[in-house]
Amino acid sequence: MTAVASSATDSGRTRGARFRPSALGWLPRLAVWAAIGYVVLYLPLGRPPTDVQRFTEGVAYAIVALSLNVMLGYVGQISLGHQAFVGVGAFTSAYIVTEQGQSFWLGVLVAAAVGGFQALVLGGVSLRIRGLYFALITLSYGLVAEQNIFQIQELTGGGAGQAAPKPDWFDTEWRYYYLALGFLALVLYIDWRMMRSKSGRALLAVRENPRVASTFGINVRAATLFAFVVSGVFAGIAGAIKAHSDTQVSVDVWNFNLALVFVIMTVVGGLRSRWGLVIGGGFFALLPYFIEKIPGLEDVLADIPLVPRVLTPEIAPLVIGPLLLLVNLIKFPGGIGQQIRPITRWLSGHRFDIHDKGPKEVQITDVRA
Amino acid sequence: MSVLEANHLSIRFGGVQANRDVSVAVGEFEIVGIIGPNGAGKTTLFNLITGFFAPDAGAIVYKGRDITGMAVNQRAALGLGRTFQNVGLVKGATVRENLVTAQHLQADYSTVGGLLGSGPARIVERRLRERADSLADVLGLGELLDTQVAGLPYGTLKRVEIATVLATDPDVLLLDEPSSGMGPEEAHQLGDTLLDLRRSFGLSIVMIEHHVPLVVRVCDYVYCLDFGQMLAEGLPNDVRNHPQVVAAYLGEDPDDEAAPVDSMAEGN
Repeated sequence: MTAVASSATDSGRTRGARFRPSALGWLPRLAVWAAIGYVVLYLPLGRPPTDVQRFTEGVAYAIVALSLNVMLGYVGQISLGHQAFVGVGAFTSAYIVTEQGQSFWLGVLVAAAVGGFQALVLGGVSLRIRGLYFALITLSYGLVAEQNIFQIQELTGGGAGQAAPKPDWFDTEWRYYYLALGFLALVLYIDWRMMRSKSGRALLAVRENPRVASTFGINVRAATLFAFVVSGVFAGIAGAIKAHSDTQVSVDVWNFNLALVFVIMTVVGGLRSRWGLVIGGGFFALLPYFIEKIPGLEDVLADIPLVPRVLTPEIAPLVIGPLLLLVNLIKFPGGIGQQIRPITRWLSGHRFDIHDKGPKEVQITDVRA
Repeated sequence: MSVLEANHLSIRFGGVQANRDVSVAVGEFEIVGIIGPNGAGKTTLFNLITGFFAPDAGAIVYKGRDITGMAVNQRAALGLGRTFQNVGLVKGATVRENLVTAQHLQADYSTVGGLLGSGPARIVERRLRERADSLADVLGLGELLDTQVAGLPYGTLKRVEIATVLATDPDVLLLDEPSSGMGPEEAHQLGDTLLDLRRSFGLSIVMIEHHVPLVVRVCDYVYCLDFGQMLAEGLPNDVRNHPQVVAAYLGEDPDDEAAPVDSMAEGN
């Protein structure tokens, strides 16, 4: 009985019976849902294949953002070597399919497993320390991977790169795009379930107060390592998705710049906000595309102080990202996720509340170096 | 037989001997008080017992088993629950989320099952939420279940913390100043609550406490620490009237530390 009476609210701000929109109230919500569905599912059908390939990259980046969020957002540790995890995932899947002649599905599976295994080994040695020193170790790992793992001829195919053909049935850009969306949905589902299970709650407790977490019987080191492994698995999947979208994986893209873009897009997207992370990942992947396709956008951006006149695809995220990061610092620590929270709450059947910052508001001090 | 024993514990931090040869024994279903002036080493003793510090010398025996080398979470799993002086809660989460998080070890489903949202995991999760609700009711927190912890008043936080540590299903409860931030009325109620909890949950309780009337009312046995050493131990009234204890509390200047003496007088 008490359970019914007291599970009434979930924001703590409002009290009393749980708000449910009327049939009329659902109508605009469904309309917005339909519009989102139209943009994500239908619009790509009318675009040329080269465009769709970039949308697929957006999906892969969204998975990367979700992957980094497990470390940054949930357990509060920075990984600066995530480009290595994604890259190894990409090469692994390409290697399994091209060199071993196995199916794409096995490729993704092995890429995910290798991603988790890398995290297990690296975290197993390094997660006795936390914060800044852990961040530095992941940074070193990224550089080591660049100089060593990505130099293994058999794995990476050397300078020419490794071929990564698309799987049967999903051999057009459009079909593959929907497949990528399917993987994104899977990652979102696992993330969602995790945060509603003991594992996710343990991560949040460890981030906020490791001492208290340990008195709850949580093994702080094991929980942090677990987060790293989950993050590695997601990164491996993202790498495999990107590999078979590009159909060719080359060595030169997996550098430290990319690691920075990954971290920035995760923070700008919004820690602990699945909506924000997906939008953030997609946005950063598609930023060069937007600059290319939206007439006048480049001129507008160039008018911002410190922004160079010509924004190449390589530097655009590294220029725009920090600017958006400033917005985070000053106004919205929760990034895009915090900015759109009133809308996402409304879409999921709550009252529209422009001041809703959410019960687990992101703080600038969330990740302690 | 004692359920928890600290035997001759010593620990030094640089030049400070925080605990010197401290021994404490807690019998089953006993409520033991630990008093002493600020800086006497009471919280250090808790940190040694719960595993945050490793003692330089001495041993901790729990239910006849030496647990001196065990990690904090392992001791928690054995049934040692503790609260913190400055409130040990996940402040960004709601009261219910704290109560559910604290049941980490009772969540007996596989991690993978949790990630995939398996049927058994969902059933266990529902059970944890129900237990959270009933624990909140025991501590009179039913109204606050969906409130974020960060905004709650200090006295309430202390009650939330007790509910949370109960959620870990402890056999021995170590409470660090449970009545701090509470008025006399609330502190008195807390005394009733602790006596009730001992009976209904079958607990042994160790509490660091400055509120002497509360100590005298609920404790079966009291230890007094000063400068890291055991000054006196015995029945509450005996310890309270022990000349060295009075001197330790009074110090050189009676006006400064008048409060403990007054509250001691009230305790009669």
